[in-house]
Parts: sequence; structure tokens; C-alpha cells
Amino acid sequence: MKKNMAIFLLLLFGLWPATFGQSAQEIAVVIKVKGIAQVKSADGEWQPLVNGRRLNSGDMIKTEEGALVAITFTDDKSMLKIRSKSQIQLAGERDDVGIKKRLLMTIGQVWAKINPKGAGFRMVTPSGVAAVRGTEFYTIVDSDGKMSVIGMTGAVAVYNKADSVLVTPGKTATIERGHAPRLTDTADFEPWAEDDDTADSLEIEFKDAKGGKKRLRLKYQE
Amino acid sequence: MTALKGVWTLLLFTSLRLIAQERIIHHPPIAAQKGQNVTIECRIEGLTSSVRFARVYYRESEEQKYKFVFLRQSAELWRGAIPGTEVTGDHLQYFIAFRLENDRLVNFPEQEGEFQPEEIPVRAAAPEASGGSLASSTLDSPFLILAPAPDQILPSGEVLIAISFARENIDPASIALFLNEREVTSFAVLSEHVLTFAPKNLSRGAQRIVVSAKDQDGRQLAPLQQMFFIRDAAMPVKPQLQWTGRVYADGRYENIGGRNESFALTGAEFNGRYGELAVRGRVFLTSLEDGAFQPRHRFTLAVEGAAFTIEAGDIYPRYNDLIIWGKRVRGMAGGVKVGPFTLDAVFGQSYRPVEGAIDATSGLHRSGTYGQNLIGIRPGLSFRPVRFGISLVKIRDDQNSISRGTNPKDNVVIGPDFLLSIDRGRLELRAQAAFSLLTRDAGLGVFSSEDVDGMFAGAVDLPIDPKKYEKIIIINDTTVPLQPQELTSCAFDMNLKLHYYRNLVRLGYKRVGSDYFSLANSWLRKDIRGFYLSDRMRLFQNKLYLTLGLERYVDNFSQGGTKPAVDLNSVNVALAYYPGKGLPNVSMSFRRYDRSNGVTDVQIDSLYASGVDTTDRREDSRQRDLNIQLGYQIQFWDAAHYFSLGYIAAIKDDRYDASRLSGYFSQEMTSNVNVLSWSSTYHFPLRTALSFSTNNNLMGGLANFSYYSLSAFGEYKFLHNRLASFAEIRLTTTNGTTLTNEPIEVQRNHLRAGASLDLRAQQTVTLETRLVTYSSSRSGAVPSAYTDKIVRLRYEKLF
Repeated sequence: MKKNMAIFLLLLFGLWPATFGQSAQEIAVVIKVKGIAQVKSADGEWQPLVNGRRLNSGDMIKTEEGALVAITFTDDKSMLKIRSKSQIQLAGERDDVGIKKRLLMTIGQVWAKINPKGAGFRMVTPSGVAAVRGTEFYTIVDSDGKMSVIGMTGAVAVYNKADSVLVTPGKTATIERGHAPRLTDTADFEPWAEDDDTADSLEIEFKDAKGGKKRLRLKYQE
Repeated sequence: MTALKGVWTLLLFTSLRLIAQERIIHHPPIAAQKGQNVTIECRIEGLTSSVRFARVYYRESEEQKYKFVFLRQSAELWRGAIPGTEVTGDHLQYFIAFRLENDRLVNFPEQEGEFQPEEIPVRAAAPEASGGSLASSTLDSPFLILAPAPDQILPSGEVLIAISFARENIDPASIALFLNEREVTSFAVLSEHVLTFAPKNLSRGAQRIVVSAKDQDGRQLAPLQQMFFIRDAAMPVKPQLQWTGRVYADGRYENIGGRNESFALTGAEFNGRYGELAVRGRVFLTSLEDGAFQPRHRFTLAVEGAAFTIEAGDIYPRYNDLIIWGKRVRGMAGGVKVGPFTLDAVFGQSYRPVEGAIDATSGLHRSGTYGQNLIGIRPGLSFRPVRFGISLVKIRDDQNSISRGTNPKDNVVIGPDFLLSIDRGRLELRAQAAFSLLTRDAGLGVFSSEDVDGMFAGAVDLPIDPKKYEKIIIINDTTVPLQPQELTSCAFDMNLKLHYYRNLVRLGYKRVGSDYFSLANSWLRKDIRGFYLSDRMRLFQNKLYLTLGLERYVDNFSQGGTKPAVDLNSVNVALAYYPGKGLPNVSMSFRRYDRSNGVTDVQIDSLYASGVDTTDRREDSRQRDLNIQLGYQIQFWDAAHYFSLGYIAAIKDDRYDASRLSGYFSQEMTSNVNVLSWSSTYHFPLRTALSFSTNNNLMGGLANFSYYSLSAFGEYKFLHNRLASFAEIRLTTTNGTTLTNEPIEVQRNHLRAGASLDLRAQQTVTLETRLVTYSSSRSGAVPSAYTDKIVRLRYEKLF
């Protein structure tokens, strides 16, 4: 009897210390996957990434050739599109305002559209940091860790230990490892984030509240 | 005395398990929509064990058999969808069943879920997607539609609906998602902050999402809507095989009473649909299968179309509950429907032959079991609002199937059933009747009319020549009834159901003759007649359930043999109140049973030359059962706690107890059970449950014993909830005195521990160990001390 009790207590209360560990936080959801992409949770293995997958703080994503992944944050609808041959890690912490977001990017290309009402967003690369509060921009990191931030709307603060610059629409900041950021006019860059949303024409029939039929024709570019 | 010992031991092991601490919290939908899936959601509170599986069993109110779908867990909710293809009648009946790892079964409705299921009306018109006005902006809404973007144009194959919600502002259990006015919540995946749904085969054009929920206080929040568009027509919808089910394997090693035993079982079950065809199957294989007993393996495959059904393997036909109702038959069954005409048939073996044997040591003959063949047929007519059929079932023991058997039986039962369903099923009148012929020993062969005349000296007037009907039934002097015109082998049941103003009223009259016997429904109580009346009321938005029931029967009404007729009266009142989160729920029931046979004197028989014997047939007793349960869910210490307090009292009085003769075991009994339990679910993956119960019993005014039980359960999940470890201990102490005033003290400790690993692709492996130690101050037939050990390994995959 005493022995049984001891075993039980060991089983039951021996677990308590483990309960103080922080559980993973669900911060984003994958809304589109084209091509091959994988996800790895903090202590898991690489798995195929699929639509609807919840992303927790600490999850890593990598994309193969030709792939595209779109994710959206659950608090403010800020969106990221991750292009092929990229690798990122998400981190986030919930507070009263929303999720404080961080993206660790080691290589690849990411388009980000950050909600200005959100709790803040930082993109960290081997050569520098982009701090954002409400803007749309692209980030490219090459295999040497060189970082380029291309402003589309709003403003992005890009900095490292050496200096900081403010990236506005039409401007590109470039940072090589160990060097200060350099700001230039954007040249030879084709935005790609909207490419997958092109469509042709569409005719739609509606029913209004009284049951009457209405038609709407939409035209848009191929 | 030995029998009492058995009862006593059984009480010890089972009485404290009588109070279910678990409770299913479920609010039935107000109505279903014809052809649309019906989402069934519930949560289970007070869990003291893991859930092995959860199902919702459903049927249309006119159907006899239930089908089921699995409920799947999503956060704290369990959800399942009754397929819209099955929602075609006027009413839908269902009940929910959870099977726990500790083998406990929890039902909703709690009492007699199968026999008193929930019933909801099925409406033809599309219901409101949700109450209140629709908002299309996110202002002040607890929802945020993450995808698609407003008015986004998408190819049909790439649609993902993703909606996040502020968990602190809503009751996640109340979230409902509609796409184009059709509720799709059950297809959606709900997690901590996000709801996602990937619809298939959307047609070109505008699509509308509506999402609604209630707040923590149960108030409906303004729904949120959003439009998006599909730019390409979906491919023509090809039938796709959709299926759900599970496969499992279970191995168990036991050391019980010093004997080692191990056995294994495996099985699979699935429900599938391909276009109009519904398919279901089940395989169950066990190492306990033994040709010396009835089959333990089970196999079933059923295919159902709009106008036909085919079943093979182990089937459980239900035509008329007086004749054939759930009897296992290994064989084939089918049904067709052509216009208003229906035909159902079944044939197969209801018992397989098991040869008798002669015991080598004692030389005693053990009689075998004849193979028993069953044929049933039910031609019918079905046109609204009437359904009518005649069932004919013939069961005959195969005398050639074994060489050592006794009393092979032959049985024919025939009877009509009738249903009138009007006012969209709110009023139903059912009636069924049956007539049986049973030959208790067909081995005597068939008698001729002359044989019968000779044997009964003209006292029996057979209306037929038995020889002419030998192929239908073998008639001889063991046939009952030999004079069918006396109607002693008739049975009928008539009942009326009224479903109005949230009242479900059932009123019925039943009479089963003393010679009525259907081998296809041999557990039907015979020689009884009487009526029953019940009313189940759903009030205050289905938060309050009130059930009233009254039964008055006369048992042994034919007064055959020396038994007097017994009046059986019972009154039942039950109330359950589920006011919603933050408030305590209450359920209580009271049932009173009265038995009286009107005999007031002790019968004195001069049986022996040397003296007299007495027979005390007086019966006038009252039993009262009271069950009260209180449950309360509350949040503190960053966890959800559920407290449950239960009280059960059972008292049985015998009016003649004081005047019973010595040697008569008193039927009086008093039992009181108190249970207090506390289960908690923490924000990290820990669940705990503590329970303390007492049970005091006084039996026959002599035996007086009490149980005290303390149990604790804990479950913790590791590896992102994939590995669940659990442990439970139950300590039971009993003390008191036996009927012979002998003091007794028993200690029983039960330890259960194990782990369940959730592998990828909905696979689970569970290892469970149990250790039971028992010690008693009393020696005798039950060992005074023993230790039982059980190890169990289980694998399951859901698909």
C-alpha cells in the first residue's frame, strides 16, 4: 500500500517541474503553399507544410525551388510571403496589444505587409535588422548573408551595429556583413508578391436581401 | 449464502463506480435542415480517464437502427457531423456516447440514451445562418478573417478560410462557420486562436462566409461576414470516396488470482460514402475465439444505396421489437424499396453448433448447442404518412449439427407493424403485434392429428393437421400454444408520440402473453401487460430538461402455475439544468418502484407426512431511488476546475418484513452513496482528478457495511501533447458485519498507470498497467488476499 502510494505520488507529482515550461504559442497560420515547403517546430522534425497549418513561436520554414508560402499573423493579419529557396524562423510573444513579431531570416526572399496597428515587427538577418511598424517591403538575404530591404510603402528602419538608415518607397537599403547600411534608389527589381493573384474576367450574379438578382462583371489583368 | 457472498463481492467492486463523475455537456441544435450536415458538438467535463472514442449515434425517427459517426476533438470541443444525406425525414434522433479508457461509458442523454434519444425537427427551409445583423467589418468583432481577403478572387482549388478569434471574448464552443448559408463548422479545424476550413469544389462566382459565436455569458455576438469569389468553375463533381473510421489492436497480459493469461484482439471499423452509396464495415478478431463457444470474432460489411441495402457477416436486424430486435445473425441481409413497396430479408445462423461432451473425470454429459438457423422476411408498404409491414421470422435448431444435444427448438413468429406519422412527424402512432409458435423439443418429431387427439383425449382441438406444416414448424406435444385461439402466445405494443411545444410525450400500452416466445428476441419480458407514459420537456433554450414518467404493469397476469399476479408501478421524475459556463449545473432524479401481489397470508402446505411447510408469497414492497448531482466549472490558478458533488440514496421497504418467518432473508435495504470529485485542466497540458466517496449499506436489517474510496488521477502531456502519461490510484476500504454478524474488513487498492503516444497521422499507442491488491479479514470462498496484475498495449489509428 505504501509502496503503491509512493509510486503514484512519484508519477503524479514528479511531473510538476515540467509543467512550468512555457507552451508553444500559436501566432500565425499558413494560408497558401505552392510547391514544396517544409516546417519544423522547435523540437520536432521537418514536415511538409500545408495550407491551414498553425505556426507556433519558434517554428522554422524552408522553401524549395519554385515554391511560395503565404502566412498571416493571427492578431492583426500582417502577412508574409516567402519565396523559393528561403529559410526563416518565426517568433512571437502575445501582449495586450497583439503579437510582438520577429522573423529570423537566414537566406531567401520575403515580402512583408505589416499592419500599422499591430504590436511591432522585426526582421533579423545575419547582417542587420529591419524594424517595422506598418509598411510593405521586400527583404532579400543571399548566401553570404548580405541583406537588401526594398521599400514599397511606409518606412522601414534598417540598422546594424555600425549605423542605421530609413527605407522609404523607391529606396533600397543594403547591408553586407560587418559593414554599415547603404541606401540607394531601387533599380531592376520586379515586385513578385502580387503575381499569384492575377485573374481574368468574371461575371457574378448576386441576390439582394429582397431576393432580386443583380449582375456584376469584373475585368482584370491576366 | 453463497449467492449472497457473490452479491456482496460484486457490490464491493462496483458500487462506487455507479456515480459517473464525467458528464457530457451538450446543447442540442434547435433544428436540422433537410439535406444538410448536422453538427453535433459537446464537451465532456469531470474526466477521470482518457477518451478511447466518442461517437454520435443517429437515426431518423422512423428508423429502427442507429448509425454512427465519430466525434473528433478540437481544443476542448468534440465535434462530428451527421451527414446531410442521412437527414431526410421529419425528425432526427441521436445520442452521444463516450467510451473512456477505464471502460466507463458516458452517454448523453444520461439515462437510456439509446431508448430515449434526443430528437430534433428537420426543416425544409434554409435556416438563418445566424441570429442578429451581419457585420462585414472587423470593428469590435472578436473575429478577424485572415483569409481570403475581402472580395479576393481565387481559383477554386486554392481556397482556405482562416479566421482568428479573441479567445477571452467568446465561448469557443459556440463558434459557427457558414459558407453560402450552409454550416460547415464540423469540417473546420479549431485550434487555440484560429479556425480554418478548406472547402472543395466551390462553383464559380460569389461566395459568402459568415462566422458567429456567443460570448462567455452565452449572449449571441453580431456575426461577421465576408465575400470572396471563385474565378474558375470547379471541375464537375465526381463522386469521391469519403470515409472515416479506425483500426486498432489490443494485447493484454493478466495475472489474476495467480493465473497467467494473455489475449489479443484487433479490429477495424469504417463508414464511407461514394456518391449515393454508403458503405460501412467492421472486423473484430480476438484470440479468445474458440470453437467450443459462440463466435467472438465479428465481421460486417454493409452497402446502402437510395433504394437498397445489403449486409453480410454479423448483422443485427430490427424489424419489429416484439419479434426480432438486434439479435446477432451471421449471414446475409438486404432490403429493397421500389416505389411504396419495401422488402427486407435476413437469413443466417443465430447460434453456431457447439458439440456436447462427456466429462472424462465425472462422466457427466454436457449438452451441446445446436446450430440455429434464422430466416426473416418483412414485406412492407411505405408511403407518407403511413408505413406498414408484416414480419415473419422462422428459427429452427439444426438437429443434425451436433450429436449430443437436448431439446432442439423450432419457432415461428409473425406479426404486423404500423406507423402513422403526421404533422411533420410531431405526432406518431405506432402499433405492432406478434403471434408465436414454439416447439420446445422438436427432436420428438411431428405429431399427427390422431397423435394429438390420443394424447390429450380430445381436450385439445388442433385447427390444422401438423403433418402438412412440418416444413414450417414441427408441431408436437411440446408446442406452445397448442390451442392458438386462446391467444396466450400473442403480444402487442401500441404507443403514441407527441412532440409539441418542447414536450416529447410518449404514451403506450403493452401486452405480452405467457406463451409468447421469439427466439430472435428471447430477452423480451413475458406474461406482462400495462401502460407507460413519459414526458420530456426542454425548457429555457434547452438548458433545463425535465422528465416525468409513469409505468403501471401487471406481471404474471395470466397467473399461470402457482404464481400470483404482481402489480408493478413506477414513477420517475428527473431534472437536469445546464445554465452555461460560469454557473453550476444540476441534475436530480427520483424513481419509485412499487411491487404488490395482493397476497396477504402465508401459505401453509402439508407436504410431508411428518409436518408442514410454509410458503410466503406475500409481496408488497417500495423502492425509492434518489440521485442528485451538482457540477460547477470555475477558473482559478490559471486552470479550469470542475467540482462535482453526488448523492445517491436507495431505500427498499417491505411491508411484511416484521411478520416474515425466520429463515426468510429480508428484502429491506438502505444504501447511501456520497461522492465529491474535483477535476482540473491546466493551461499547460496537465489534467488531474481527485475523488472521495462513501457508501453505507444496510441489507436485510443484518448486514451492515460501509465503503470509503479515495481516488486520484493525473495526466500530463509531453512532446507538444503527443505523449500523454497518466496514473490513477483508487484506495477502497470496507468494513462492517455480514449477515451472520461476523465482522469483516476489506482493503482493495487499484493502481493504473501508463502512457499514450500520439504518433503522426492520427495514430496512438497506449501502454497501460494495472495492479490490484486485495486483502480481507475473512477467509472462505473468496481468497483472503491476492494481487492481480494487468498489462495492456493498444494501438489505434483514426482515419
